Amino acid sequence: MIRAHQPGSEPIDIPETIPNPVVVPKPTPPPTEPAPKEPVRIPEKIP
Amino acid sequence: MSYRYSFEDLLALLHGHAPAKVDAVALHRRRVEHGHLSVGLKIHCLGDGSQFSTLVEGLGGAQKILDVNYYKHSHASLCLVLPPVGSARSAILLLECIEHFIGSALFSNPEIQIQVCSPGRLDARRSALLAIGFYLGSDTLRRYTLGDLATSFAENQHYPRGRRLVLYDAEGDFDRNFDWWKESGKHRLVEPQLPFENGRSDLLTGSGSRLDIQNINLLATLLVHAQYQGYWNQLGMQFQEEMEALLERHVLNGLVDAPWVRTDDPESDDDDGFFAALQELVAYAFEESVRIKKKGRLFPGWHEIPVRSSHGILQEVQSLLQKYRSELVRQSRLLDQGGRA
Repeated sequence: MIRAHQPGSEPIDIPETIPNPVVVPKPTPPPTEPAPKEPVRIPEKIP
Repeated sequence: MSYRYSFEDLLALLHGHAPAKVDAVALHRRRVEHGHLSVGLKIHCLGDGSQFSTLVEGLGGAQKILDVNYYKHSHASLCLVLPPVGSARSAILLLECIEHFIGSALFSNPEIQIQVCSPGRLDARRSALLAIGFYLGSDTLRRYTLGDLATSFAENQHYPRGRRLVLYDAEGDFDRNFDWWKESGKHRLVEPQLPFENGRSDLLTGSGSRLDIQNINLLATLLVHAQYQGYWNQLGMQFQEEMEALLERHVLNGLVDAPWVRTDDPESDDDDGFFAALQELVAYAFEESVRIKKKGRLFPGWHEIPVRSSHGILQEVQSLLQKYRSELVRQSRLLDQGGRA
């Protein structure tokens, strides 16, 4: 049996943080501001 | 909280980078939502802080706005104190505005630690529930060393705060001008000021998220109202009972007796006692996360299968927070419709 701490074995990986498995990640809103509104176009008068 | 610059100056600076969000913050800065507590924020930067240099200069320079604040995380190059706002929503928006300005992330960034400040000092037991509720309800499960929680006030002569997740204020500036929902007989009375002349319970989230800010605001609102007889007193007491029962089911109720906050009581001067309790909580949460993942591999519909006899502590805390979040809003809307909640 190969133990994790033996030479040649997989290193033990202990993460400092992990995602909480029961929290459904919400999509992060993109860091963009809404585009400025386009000026209202006034139709030319039809003669 | 010392910040020595005006909120208007901050918004004016940020406006060029995020006009719509800044306008929303400016409009709703003092608006309290459903009787929740106001929210203060401190940003501790563990990197060199260069991304903040333009912002700091624009607000008057480091000497004026940073050096005046003696408090910071012991590994931080700077601690930027933000003016308090009326809601978690405004707090999140304000941080997003700063993200736009500095051009880098504040949320879920290992170099940035977010401290969420709530008005009112919670007693030792409620501070424990605040910290435990935050930890188990977060979208990230974290491991800590005691050094991660060291601040410049850990061993302070006048305001020793120890190395904890929950920290009391050091009697600095305090903005009381936020609505406080008070119970008056069978009615809700909205006071224009918080009932505290001073006093906060802060939570050092580490690398924090939007959900963390929302959860801490909800937890602090319920617990502070339970302690100071606010309008949500009954709901807060009920939450406290349910949270303690939840911990008891998982044989973790002893954790609440640990010194989660450094109070005036000399017995609370026990960083190791606190850290032992925190480590037990962390180990329990990580173990459960492994169990859930194993279940997930065996059964694709793992979320429909109880982890053990219950749904597991992580799921239970999510459900509890969701239940009280919804109930508070439901009762608040009933009040707006003219009924008694």
